[in-house]
Amino acid sequence: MDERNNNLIFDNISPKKIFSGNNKSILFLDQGGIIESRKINVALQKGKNKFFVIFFILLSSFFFITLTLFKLSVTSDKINISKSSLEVARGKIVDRNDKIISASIPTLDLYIDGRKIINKKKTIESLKKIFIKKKDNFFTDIIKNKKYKLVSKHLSETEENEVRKLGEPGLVFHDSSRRIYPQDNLFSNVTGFISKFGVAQSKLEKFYDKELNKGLDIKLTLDLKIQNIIYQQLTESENYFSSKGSLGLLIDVTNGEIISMVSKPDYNPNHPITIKPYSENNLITEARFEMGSILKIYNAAMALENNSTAENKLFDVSRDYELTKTYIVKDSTKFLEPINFEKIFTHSSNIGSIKVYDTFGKKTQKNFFKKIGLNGHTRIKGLSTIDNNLPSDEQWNEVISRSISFGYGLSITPLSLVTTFSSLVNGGYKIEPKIIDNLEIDKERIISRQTSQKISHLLKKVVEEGTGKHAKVKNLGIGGKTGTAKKFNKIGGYYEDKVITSFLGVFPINKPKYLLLVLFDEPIKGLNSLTPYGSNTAAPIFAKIVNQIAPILNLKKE
Amino acid sequence: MNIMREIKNWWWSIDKWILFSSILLLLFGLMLTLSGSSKIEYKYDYPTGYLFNKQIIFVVVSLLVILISSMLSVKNLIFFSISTFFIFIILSFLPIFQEEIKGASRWIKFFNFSIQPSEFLKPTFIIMSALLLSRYKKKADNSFFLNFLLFSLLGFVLFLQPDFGMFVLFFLTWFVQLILVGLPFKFMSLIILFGSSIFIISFLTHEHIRFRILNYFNSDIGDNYQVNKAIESFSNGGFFGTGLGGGFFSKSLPDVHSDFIFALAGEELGFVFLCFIIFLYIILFYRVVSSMVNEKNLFVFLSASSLILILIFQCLINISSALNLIPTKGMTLPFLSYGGSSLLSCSLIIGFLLALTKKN
Repeated sequence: MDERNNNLIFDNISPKKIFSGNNKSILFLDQGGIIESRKINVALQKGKNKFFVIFFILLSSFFFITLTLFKLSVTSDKINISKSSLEVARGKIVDRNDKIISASIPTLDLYIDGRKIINKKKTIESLKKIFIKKKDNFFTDIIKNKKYKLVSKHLSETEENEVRKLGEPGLVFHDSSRRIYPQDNLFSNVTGFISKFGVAQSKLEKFYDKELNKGLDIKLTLDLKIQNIIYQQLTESENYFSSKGSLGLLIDVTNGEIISMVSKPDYNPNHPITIKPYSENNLITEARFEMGSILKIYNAAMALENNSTAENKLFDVSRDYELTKTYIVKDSTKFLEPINFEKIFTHSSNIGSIKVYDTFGKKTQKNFFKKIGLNGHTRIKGLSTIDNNLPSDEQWNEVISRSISFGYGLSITPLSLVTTFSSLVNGGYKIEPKIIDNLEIDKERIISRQTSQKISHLLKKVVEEGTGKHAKVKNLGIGGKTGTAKKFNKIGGYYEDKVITSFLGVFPINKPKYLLLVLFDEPIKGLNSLTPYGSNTAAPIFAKIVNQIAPILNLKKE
Repeated sequence: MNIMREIKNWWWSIDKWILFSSILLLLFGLMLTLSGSSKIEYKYDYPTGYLFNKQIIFVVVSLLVILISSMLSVKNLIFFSISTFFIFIILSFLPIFQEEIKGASRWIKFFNFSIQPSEFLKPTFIIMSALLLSRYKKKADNSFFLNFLLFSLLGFVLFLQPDFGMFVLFFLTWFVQLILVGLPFKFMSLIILFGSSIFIISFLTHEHIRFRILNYFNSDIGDNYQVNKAIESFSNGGFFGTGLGGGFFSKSLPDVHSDFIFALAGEELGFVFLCFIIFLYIILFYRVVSSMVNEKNLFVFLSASSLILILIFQCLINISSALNLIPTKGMTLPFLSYGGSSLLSCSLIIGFLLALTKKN
């Protein structure tokens, strides 16, 4: 055959006219059919070549599929988590007394399989009555168009019973589980929340997602009752002071356990859809403040720790202090006669603080901050934290140092403040803050015992005769320091009318055990006064709180 | 004696690789049905083993179909295909007037069985189209026009049912057939225009097609429940799988016994087994390709190559949608999925292939 094709011999070639459609074509045929067979042979050979190409293309897609399969089945490991999440109930989060803060309960989700609905009209009518909130044509749409669709997640008991009564095979229940927070808003900024689709979104739920999914419980150092008291007090006073936000933080200064952590604004983690982004911030760990007067105590500690002469000197604070050409430091209470070391702090004198600073200088200040750990980043396991904002080495000049001495020029997180302050009053030991209940305390002394005792004494005096009078609690020794700081504005100066007011208190002051920080962000007025200060906002609220929580903390009143 | 010799002849002339690969696949399918059907039986309150017993019958019938159809001569094969094609295209119109199953009317009731007539159009249409195309090359008459008419009729039936997946499969195979035969460029561009317009019309008129496609490209909307579960099945299976009956994720798929049987195989028998299955399909493909090297007959070449291609396309589409490489498409996996019509149709394809690749 091939040979014949190569040496064509044509017999009786005859043209043949063919009409196909509008196209006219002429075909030549010969008697032996050689032209024809040659034409087909060419087509066949070309077709075969194309077929081989297709074969290799499809072979490579098989190869690609095998590769994808390999990636999925051999190298992926995510499956262990999601499998366990289906089989084991997610672990609980409990407080220090094993009261439930967050737990998962099994629920049912309802789906409609539009294809399997038997009595369409009746089903639509009944479902409309059960799920009143759904749009008018929601069910009609699913059933008429034969869709498979989610109707409602986490059915209530009545809903489930009503749906079961209908007995439609097209109404399908899926097992599901729901995270519930029995305390609603109370712990929202500590626990974080879980999205509608079961994904942990923030804070402890996210940080311990793996452990919780394995069914492990997480025990916190927080105390539900105390958390509740502080929360109630802050909520009430926020209304009164019209503040933008507020926080309360109670820590055990001897071991760093945080007993209460309230940050407002907050949200209800039971309803993830309603959460606004601004309320998701935990002000204690994720916000920085210029703390103002509270930081003067650090100034005092520096003086005491370095045996400076300040303790026994008298200071003249009668004239305003010119820090820079444009910045004049003033005091709210004027003293015409020279005052002693103690009085500077009990009456929170800015000028006095600068004078005390001048007795030891910049280097000591910097070293002190480094030693107590204020310069870095105070971390706490389970929550995200941010850096403290201290001036850089180039920026840190005498002017900055002087303003730091009365509390401006560095912004720190409340967590950092409370942690470092604890060392000042607990006898001088470094502590690590924690909210997860576990043992392990190693005591490292960073401040001398004497300094610590003197600071406690100073704090006691502030409450007894100074700016902290409103923080007094009957029959319980309190020490503390008020803070009122103007807020920094973006242009580079300070707002005149926007302030942060705070009170940091330690009790019982004779043998310090607990430290509570109360802070209000932008209060508009104070108690019985139109100008908010730490002394007339945070201090009285501090007293109210301590009054209520003292019995819970087993503090014997004197 | 005569029959003995016939069988002996048949045995020596057929391609044993194709035969045994297909039988192996059939048996694997039966094995997977045993596991996959348990969930479905439980769900629909069937007695235990109901689907499995049915599938055993299908497998036996399939083996007979392979045996008989592979004995056909090319001439009888053509005759058989033409008559079967017309019977089943008429039957395909019937379900449209019947009650719908799973959002489409593709099945007709036949005693205790439901038959999907469009499955049987697969091999028969390919044979007819190959016949017309090989004639077109020879005579350049109206045979191409006739072919186009037949395809349009087929497309119309599938559009009414609607069975978009099957249409894609047919179109793809037919299109490749046209490429193989070397149709002039202007015809090809017309065909492409035709195909894409059908696609756009389907996209606009059928909501579930639109949903599936949009859902694939935008995973935020709607539920990717099936695909997610399928993917989880593969990762749970790992190298050697959890063992037959040990499927967890794949069992929660609604169509585990048919469309998602590959995910079940992946979870219960593992990656190695999946590779073996893919290897078997490649053997089928390779045997056909290699036997085409010396083929002299255009008709035999066109029909054999398209028959194996439709099978391979079906595999690729099924597996790719289980792996979320393409939008989900309700399509069975040849030989492995549960379902009589699909099994018989695949057996018919293999039978035809055996008949066409017979050695003299």
